[in-house]
Amino acid sequence: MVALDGIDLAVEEGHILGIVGPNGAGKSTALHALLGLVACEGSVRVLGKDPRRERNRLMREVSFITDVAVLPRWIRVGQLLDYVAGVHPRFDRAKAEGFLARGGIRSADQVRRLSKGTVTQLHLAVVMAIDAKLLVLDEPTLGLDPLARKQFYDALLHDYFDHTRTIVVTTHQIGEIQDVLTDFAFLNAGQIVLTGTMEAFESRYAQLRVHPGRLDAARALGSIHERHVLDRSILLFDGADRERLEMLGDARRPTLGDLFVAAMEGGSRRMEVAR
Amino acid sequence: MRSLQWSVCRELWQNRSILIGPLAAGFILIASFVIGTIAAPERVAGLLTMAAETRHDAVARPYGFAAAMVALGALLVSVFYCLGALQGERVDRSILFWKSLPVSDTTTVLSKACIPLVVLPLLVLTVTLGVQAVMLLASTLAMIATGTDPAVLWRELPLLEMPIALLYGIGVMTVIQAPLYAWLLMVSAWARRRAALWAFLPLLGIGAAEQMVFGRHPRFRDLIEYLIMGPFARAFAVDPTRAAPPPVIDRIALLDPAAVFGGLGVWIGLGLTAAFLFIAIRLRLDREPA
Repeated sequence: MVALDGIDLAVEEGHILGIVGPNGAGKSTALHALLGLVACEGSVRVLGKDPRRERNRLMREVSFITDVAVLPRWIRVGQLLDYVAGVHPRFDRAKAEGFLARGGIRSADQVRRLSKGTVTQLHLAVVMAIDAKLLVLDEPTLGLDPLARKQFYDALLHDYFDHTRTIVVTTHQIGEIQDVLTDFAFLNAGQIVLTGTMEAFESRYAQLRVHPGRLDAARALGSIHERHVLDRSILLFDGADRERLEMLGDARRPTLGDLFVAAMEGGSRRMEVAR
Repeated sequence: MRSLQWSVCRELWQNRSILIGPLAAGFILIASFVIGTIAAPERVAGLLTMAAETRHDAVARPYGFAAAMVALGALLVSVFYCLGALQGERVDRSILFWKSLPVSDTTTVLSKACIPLVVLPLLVLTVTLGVQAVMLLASTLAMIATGTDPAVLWRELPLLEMPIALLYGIGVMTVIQAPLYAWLLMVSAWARRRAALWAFLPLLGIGAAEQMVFGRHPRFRDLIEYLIMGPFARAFAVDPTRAAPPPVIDRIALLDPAAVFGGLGVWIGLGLTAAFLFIAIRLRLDREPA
C-alpha cells in the first residue's frame, strides 16, 4: 500500500510549517519518513543528512514529539532527565528543570501518575531543553483540553521558537495553530493538495457571505468553493478584488480551516501553490 | 559507550525484576540455610565426622546448590526479560520516544543483550558469593555454639578456589546460553504479540516433527540439554550431570576450558548469537509501534 505518493516539500530555516490533512492522509508517515522511522523511495534530506542512514547523527539536531502518549509510563521524571542528559549532547538539564518547576512537576513523579496535560508539559519541557535545529511535532496536543493545547503552543512560541529554529507540525486543530504557522501544506490521500505561506494566504484569499439574490453575481467573480449555511451562501475566492466582494455581501478573511475544507472538497483543482 | 551505559541503566530502571529475581533467590537461600542451621546446629558438626572421602562433598554441596539456584533464577529472569525487551516498547509506543534521542538501534539492542550476557551473570556472581559468605558465617557460629572447632570446616572448603570456579562456571554458562538469549531478543523484535509462543513453538515443532518422521531420539532434546545442562556437562573435568549424587566442583583442577572453547559448538553458538542480534537490530529499525 502506498502511503505517500510524489511528495515534494521543502522547509526553510526559521519557518513553522503546518501539515494538515484528514485521517489517513499520510501526515504521520510523512513525518516518520523525515525522521528515518520508515523507509521510502526517492530522496529525503533533513539538515543535509539522510534520515535513514544517519538517524543517530541527525537526532542530535532534531527533536520530535509524536503524540502525548509515548513517554514510558514506568519512568520517573528524574530518571527521564538523567537518561536524556546522559545520551543527548545538546540537552540542558537546568533549563528542563526550570520548565518543570514552573509546571509544578517533581523529580520523583512517575509518568503513569501524571495527567495527560502534565505528561505533555513534561515532554515539551524535555524537548525545549534540547538545543535542536528542527522540531517535529506529530499531533502533539491530541486528546488535550483546549486550555492545555493553548498552553502548549504558547510555551512553544515564547520559550522555544527564536526564528533560527524550524518547526514542522501536523494537527487537526487548524484553528489553534493558524496564528503560529509561517507555512502550510494540505495533504490528502498521500499527496500534497496545496502548499503556501501564511502571508500569501492572508493576502490572496477572501470569503464572502451572500444572500441568495446576489449569489449569481458573486459566482461570476470566480469563486473556488461554495457552501450553504442556513439562508446564506459562503463563497471562497482566490485573488478576487476585495472592494467588489464587499459590494455583494459580507466579505472577510477566511480561516485556514475554511481553505482546508475547500481544498478537501475538490476546490484544490482550481487552487495553485500559494506562494 | 556512554549511550550504552545509560541504556543499560534504563533497562534496570524499567525491569526491576533483573535485580529483584537473583536477590530474592539469594534471600530465600540464606533464610532457609540459617533457619536449618538454627534448628539443628549439630548437623554441621556432624558432617565433619564423616569419612574423609565423602566429607568434602557433603560439606561443600550446599554451597554449590546455592550457586545453581541463583543461576537458575537468573536464567528464568533472562528468558522473560528477553521475550519482552523489544516487543514491549512497541506495544506501549514508547519506542517513538526512545527513537527521538540520538541512540542508535545497535546501541539499544546491545544494551538489552547486555542484561542476560553481562549484568545478570555479574549479579549471580555477587549474590552467590554473598549467600555463600553468610552460609559460612552461619555454619561457623553453629559450630562454635555446639563446641566444635570451626577451623575444621574452613579447612574443608577451598575458599580461594571457590570464587574462581564460580566465575568460570557462570562465564561458560553465559557463553553457551548466549544464542538462546539472542534468539529470544530477535523474536521479541519481530513478533507483534505472543513472543513466547513464537520463540518456543518452532523449536517444539521441530522436535515433534523429528520424532514423527525419524521415530528416534530427537536431537531437539539434545539442544535443550545443551542450553540448560551444557555448561555443566562440558566445562568441567568431571561431568556433574551423569553422576549421582553430583560431585561438587569448587577447585581449579576440575575446570576444563579447553573442552568448551576447543570444540566447534561454542563458536557456532557465538556466530548464531551475532546473527540473531544483527537481525534484531534490523528489525528494530523497520518495525513500527503496534
